[in-house]
Amino acid sequence: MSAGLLVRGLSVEYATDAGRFLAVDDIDIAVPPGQRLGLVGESGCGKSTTALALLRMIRPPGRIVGGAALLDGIDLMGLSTAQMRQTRLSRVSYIPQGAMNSLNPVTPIGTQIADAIADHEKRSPRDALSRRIVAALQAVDLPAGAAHLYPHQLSGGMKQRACIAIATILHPRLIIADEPTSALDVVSQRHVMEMLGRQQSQTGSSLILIGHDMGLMAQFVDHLAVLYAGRVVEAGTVGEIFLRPRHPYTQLLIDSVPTLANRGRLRGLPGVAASLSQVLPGCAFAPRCPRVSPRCAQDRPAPAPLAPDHVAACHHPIEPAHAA
Amino acid sequence: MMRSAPARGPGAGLVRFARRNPELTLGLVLMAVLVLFAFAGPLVWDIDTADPLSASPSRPPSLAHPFGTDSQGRDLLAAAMVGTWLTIKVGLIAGGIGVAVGALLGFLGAYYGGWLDSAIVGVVDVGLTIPALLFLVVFGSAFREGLDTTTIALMIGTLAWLSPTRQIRAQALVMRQAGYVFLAQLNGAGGLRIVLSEMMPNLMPYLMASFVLAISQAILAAVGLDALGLGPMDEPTLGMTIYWMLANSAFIRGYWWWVMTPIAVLVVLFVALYLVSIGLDVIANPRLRRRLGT
Repeated sequence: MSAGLLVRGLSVEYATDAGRFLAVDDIDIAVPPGQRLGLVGESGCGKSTTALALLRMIRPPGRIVGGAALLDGIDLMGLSTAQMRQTRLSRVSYIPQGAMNSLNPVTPIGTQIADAIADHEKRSPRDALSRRIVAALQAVDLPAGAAHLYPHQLSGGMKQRACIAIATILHPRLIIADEPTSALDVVSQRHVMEMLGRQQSQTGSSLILIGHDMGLMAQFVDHLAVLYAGRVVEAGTVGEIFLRPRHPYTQLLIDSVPTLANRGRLRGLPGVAASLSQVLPGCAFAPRCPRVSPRCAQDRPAPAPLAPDHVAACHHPIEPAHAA
Repeated sequence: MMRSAPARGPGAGLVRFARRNPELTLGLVLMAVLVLFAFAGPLVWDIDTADPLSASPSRPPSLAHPFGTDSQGRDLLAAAMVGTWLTIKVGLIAGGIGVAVGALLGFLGAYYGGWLDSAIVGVVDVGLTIPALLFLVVFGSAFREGLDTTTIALMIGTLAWLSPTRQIRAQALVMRQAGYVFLAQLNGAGGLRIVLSEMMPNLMPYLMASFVLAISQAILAAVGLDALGLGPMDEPTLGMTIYWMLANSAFIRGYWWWVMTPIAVLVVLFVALYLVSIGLDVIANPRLRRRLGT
């Protein structure tokens, strides 16, 4: 029994009038307990779909078509509907992208936390419950009085921290944060990430951070998985990937982050993100790749270990400069 | 704590509320007057005189009978007191059934979708094509014997849920897409819990407005049935008073007080319901809110 999260071969398919598309194609990821995995990629590459698949919340016409997701040795995909409902929040919790719309506008924050607890636990005495709610709010730097406030009385950052309080109150084994700071300014962003990191370290849970902010990833996560067109194209420890990116896509992603060293020279990625409706026989990144060869269009590269804790799926991986 | 409420009595709050929503305030005051009339009236007036043969017939208003008497010897003030509550009661029961059943089916259909939703939509679509009055007349005449206001209310209630169901379902369909509903699902909340504690509170002003609308429609239907002579013969509802008045040719014989009494009460009742309804609409739909002069 391995602890933490171990995903093997997870695939999600969308059946539309135009055909069936794999939004998530045979993904393998692993997050040891207490560790943080960053899931990065462009819009539509399957980041959020992967997160929802782990919670088994893919809505029709989407469908999980294969794979296993072992959390502390228990396959989430094999649980019954009722077991899965119990698992949500208590073992796997989700922090949404838009905290603005994720809290009920007519219910005080404290009541929303109490409702979330009541969905998973037997009723506890009133004062114990309210002490617990206050403690949860204070743990994310919210005043105790916030329990009586409505969402519209909180700022965006406070709402997001309230969401973190809800997501961590039952000490889940896995926290999935889906671009938790994308709507916040950098100051609130830092505060929210600090609170998230603190809560995660205290409970020792695994964490998946979804986003496309490479700078945030570099600071916050331990491991990184780069997604392109529903597949993991590169995965490894965050230091390894940032110092020695092997996949051209990763290299371009990192280069697109403005740094103090190369001021005034912003580089973007050429082309548009791969469309899932036109599945290429070879590498999905081939049409945009600077290192493309005829082989790339024919033959899909399989993920291959290039170094300890570093996997990339590319026929022509970048050779790391030894000076790095 | 974080709220800054200036230290003022509850009276000040009421005044502020009345200024912000004069329609709702006036409507509620009128409703209160009617309820007071129906419940406090009997304390100062003998309502047994609402029965036939308890006063000399066909008398115009006088000190002994301020609203006059009808040609069967009812005191019309007593009849109005009894009839007001009976009429409101029909509205409350039938409107309550309508909105309760409508909210339940509307929410369940919208939330769960699938065959349940299709079944509900199908029944509602077919049901709404049945002319309500025809249905009520047919059933009213079939059950002539045992009819009292409660059974009439239940009868009206069997149709009263159809349009609330459709309207509430439409509102709930929109709400189902809300972020907090999705997050509640992601947090493992059960369907019923989401409907009751996430969606329902958001629709409360709307549900209240539908309730008031359903009440007035139920009262309208009940008065219509009564006036056609399909109401409870031994209860002086406002509609039955109209029926007796028509049956005894009060217009031709010039008994204006007999005509005035039920109509005046009904007008006040409907105006009150209308004002409450638009007042609630202002709460449910903030865009209708006017700006307050300071």
